[in-house]
Amino acid sequence: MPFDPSLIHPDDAPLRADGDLDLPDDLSVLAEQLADDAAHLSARYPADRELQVALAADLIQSAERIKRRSWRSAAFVAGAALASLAAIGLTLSMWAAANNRPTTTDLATSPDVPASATLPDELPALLPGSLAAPSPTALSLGELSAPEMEALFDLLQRDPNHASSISF
Amino acid sequence: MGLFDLDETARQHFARIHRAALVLCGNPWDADDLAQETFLVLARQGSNFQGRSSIYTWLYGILLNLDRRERRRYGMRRRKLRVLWDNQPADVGTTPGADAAAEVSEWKKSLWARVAKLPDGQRQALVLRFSESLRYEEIAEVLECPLGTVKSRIFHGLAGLRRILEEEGEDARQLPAYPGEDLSHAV
Repeated sequence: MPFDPSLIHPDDAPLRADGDLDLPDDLSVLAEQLADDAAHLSARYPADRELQVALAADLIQSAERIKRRSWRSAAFVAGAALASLAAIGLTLSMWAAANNRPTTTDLATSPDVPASATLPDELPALLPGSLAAPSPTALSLGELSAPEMEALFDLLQRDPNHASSISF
Repeated sequence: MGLFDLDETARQHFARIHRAALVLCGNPWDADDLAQETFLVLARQGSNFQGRSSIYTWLYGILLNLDRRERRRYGMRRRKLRVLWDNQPADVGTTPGADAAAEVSEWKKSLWARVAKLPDGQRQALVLRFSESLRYEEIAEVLECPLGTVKSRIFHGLAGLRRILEEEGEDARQLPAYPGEDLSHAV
């Protein structure tokens, strides 16, 4: 549809001195007729009283529903916030624990670690390369799997002359 | 809700909103729906009402927005009306008991059916002024436009209405007033 510039009117309505619209006679007649028609339609089809009652019930239900929904939303948001906080806290604590855990190198060089915590000289050769690699004299038991740990205990028992101890 | 009581607001203003809905959509069924929906929007979004205007001007704003949305959705003739409009035989106005069709023709022969052909801004200004008797300042508030624009829309709306009538071959001066229950001249 082509643009019709006549659809856009400037504010050019004729006005009387008091600021009211100065309508020509034929438009005044139309205005009166519009008011009459509206009054007639309204009188002929008034707002239904039952409809108003139904509306009131709807409004009450709607308000209750909105209240319930807002409570549910608030509970959901609070739950999500708590869950997020818990997840962040857990992540941070795991990260901190990972950073604070002594490495095998730490164990070997720390003056607090007793000499008895070190493994027999020949033991590293028996262990998997990755476990023996960090230090030839110390081993972090935390990195051992259950079968590996069992094997370690067997070795220690088999060599009673070699004093060994385990510290956690 | 804080600034108003829902029940009380519905009791006070439902009739006027219903009347505006009636002239906007042209049949009582859609008017019922539109008026009810207006108040349901009020129930849902009442917290947005800040009390800077009166509650009924705010309600008119909701009503006009809903009507505009419906028109976009279904065109000028609303869904229920269209069914009746299209199926209505020419002599239905004289048929006893054909209430629904008669109701349609009531609006169809009124000037408001012609107003429905005008652009939205003019149509809404005419409804608020001549059906609802709002002051120009109140109309400006509802339509969110300057006072001069309101007067201009009313003036050009009436002029557009006159043009439509001329195109239909009717003279505005000779339009019949409502003839009571006599529907013999109904379309």
